[in-house]
Amino acid sequence: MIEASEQQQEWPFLRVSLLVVSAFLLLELVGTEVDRRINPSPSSLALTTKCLRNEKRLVVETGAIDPIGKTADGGVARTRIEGNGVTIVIASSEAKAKKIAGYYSAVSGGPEDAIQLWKHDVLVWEGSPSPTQQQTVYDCYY
Amino acid sequence: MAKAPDLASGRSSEGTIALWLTVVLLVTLGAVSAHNAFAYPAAGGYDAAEHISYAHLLVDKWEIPKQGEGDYYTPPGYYLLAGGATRLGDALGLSEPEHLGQLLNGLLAVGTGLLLLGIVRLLFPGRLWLPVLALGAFVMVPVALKTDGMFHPQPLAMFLATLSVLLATRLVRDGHYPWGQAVALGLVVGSAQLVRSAGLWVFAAILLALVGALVAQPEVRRPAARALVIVVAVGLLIPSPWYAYLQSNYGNPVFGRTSAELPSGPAPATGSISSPQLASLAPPLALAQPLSYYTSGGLPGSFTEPHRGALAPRFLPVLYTETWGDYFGIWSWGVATPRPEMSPSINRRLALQSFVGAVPTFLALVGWLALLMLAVARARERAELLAVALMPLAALGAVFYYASHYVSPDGDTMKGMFLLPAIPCLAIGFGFATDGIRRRAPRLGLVLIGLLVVCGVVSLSYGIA
Repeated sequence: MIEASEQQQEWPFLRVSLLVVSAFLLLELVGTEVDRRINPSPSSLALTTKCLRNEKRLVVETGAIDPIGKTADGGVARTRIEGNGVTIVIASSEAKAKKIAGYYSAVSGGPEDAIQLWKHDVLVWEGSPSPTQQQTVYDCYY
Repeated sequence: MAKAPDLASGRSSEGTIALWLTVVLLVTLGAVSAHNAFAYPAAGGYDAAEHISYAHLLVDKWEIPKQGEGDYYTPPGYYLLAGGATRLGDALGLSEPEHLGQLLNGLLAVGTGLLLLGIVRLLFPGRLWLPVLALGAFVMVPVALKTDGMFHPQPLAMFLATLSVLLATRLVRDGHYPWGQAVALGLVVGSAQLVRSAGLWVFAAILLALVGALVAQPEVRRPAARALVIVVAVGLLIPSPWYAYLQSNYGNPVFGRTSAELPSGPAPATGSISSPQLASLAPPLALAQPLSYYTSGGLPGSFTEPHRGALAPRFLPVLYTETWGDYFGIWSWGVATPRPEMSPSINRRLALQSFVGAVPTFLALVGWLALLMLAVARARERAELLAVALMPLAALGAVFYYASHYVSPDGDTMKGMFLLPAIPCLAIGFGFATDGIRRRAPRLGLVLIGLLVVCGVVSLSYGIA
């Protein structure tokens, strides 16, 4: 009997809680949609650049300096990690990135692993990248 | 009159089933944890290299790392135990002796499961299914299974947090506040602070629960006040040498660093900015994000592409996807060997995890909020609920504080793993809500439990390394 009466006391709290959490979820759905329309998500280039500068403390320049990079619709970031220069070319799709990687491979005179394709990003390294150099870029990959 | 024995025997057989299910869940937790301890690479977890080198340095040279040598700001509690376990592994001739440090976490996970059952028994005696549901939630949540399989101090913090909730709940429920139990509680909350800084918010939640009970129940004010003083004194005395060490060496007694320092900034490399340039940079707090950063659910990405690289790092999406899946690529994918790189099939599995986590998360939040409201509104009669109800609140507050004061552009400072010490209390919230719905609407409850069993099995399979 004590158990039953305890549970009767508890149900109103559970009911209110169900309503509150449901309302929060509904608000979340509506709010997310409104936020997406008002504040579009920062681009991959903006996020990558911000991360390399602020978290990895690297000097980062943006903008392509070669004709292939200029075709990338997601932008280009350039930096130097542990002495190895890298150009991060961002495309809007994996297919476009694959195409760009192909162009770089055709003209590249560098080592075999100097051009890497990561989904919609193409990484063009001056020399063979070490695991820590790759990790640094990966940490800032969006 | 004839119905009484039927009811009694029905309840008894229901109790037997519930007991067997509890045993099955505990054995499953133990088996998965033991398997993960040896199947998951010791070097694969969050900051594993730093944790392993800390443990070696501590037990081999009896030293604590200095600034710039990894987790110098983390207290040595876990490393002492895990370092000892590693030595035992060495003595046993294991090729990777660190696996015993992971096994230690597996044992702590089972211990936490038992403590969770103890708390439920104290709070809700006679409810057969609530312990099964709460334990089931704890066993199926990947953030617990993942972290328990790693060489990491957080499972010990979770164990001590759960033990402190059990002791505080017993203290308040019994109402006698014997000094011996208060000392034990002080020892546990003090020890928790010697494992991770999370121990501090565990301490705060327990103190708040004791203060709440003291205020709500005037008839026990004197013994409750005495117990509170004992818990505060012992709880501060135990970790005080560590706080003094951090203060004297690094000028911050808790974090050993200020919010102007990023948590895991790499050593300046060739091509990095020079010191004068660094000094001219805006401090990391300048990265302070807009409100939407903390409130946005990141939909639909949290359910369609729940991993870094595709889903922008925001507070709720990272917490959620890291709790149910693997946002950072530390468990089922990632660049480090032997984990595979992200692929469409891995993304599908992570997306499935986000979906199976939705209903349990909803129920855990509903149950926790209901317990919190019940504990506050009926504090005089139900003050024993305070510790369980306040722990998740303290955890969320601490994670929010850490994420907003130690901003990391990739979301590294708001991992779901930071909530781990409060996961058992959230699991109790889940059990409370599900059991309440089941009793109120048995048919709906049956459908709900069927759905939850499917979610549980899918999620548990993801938590097996």
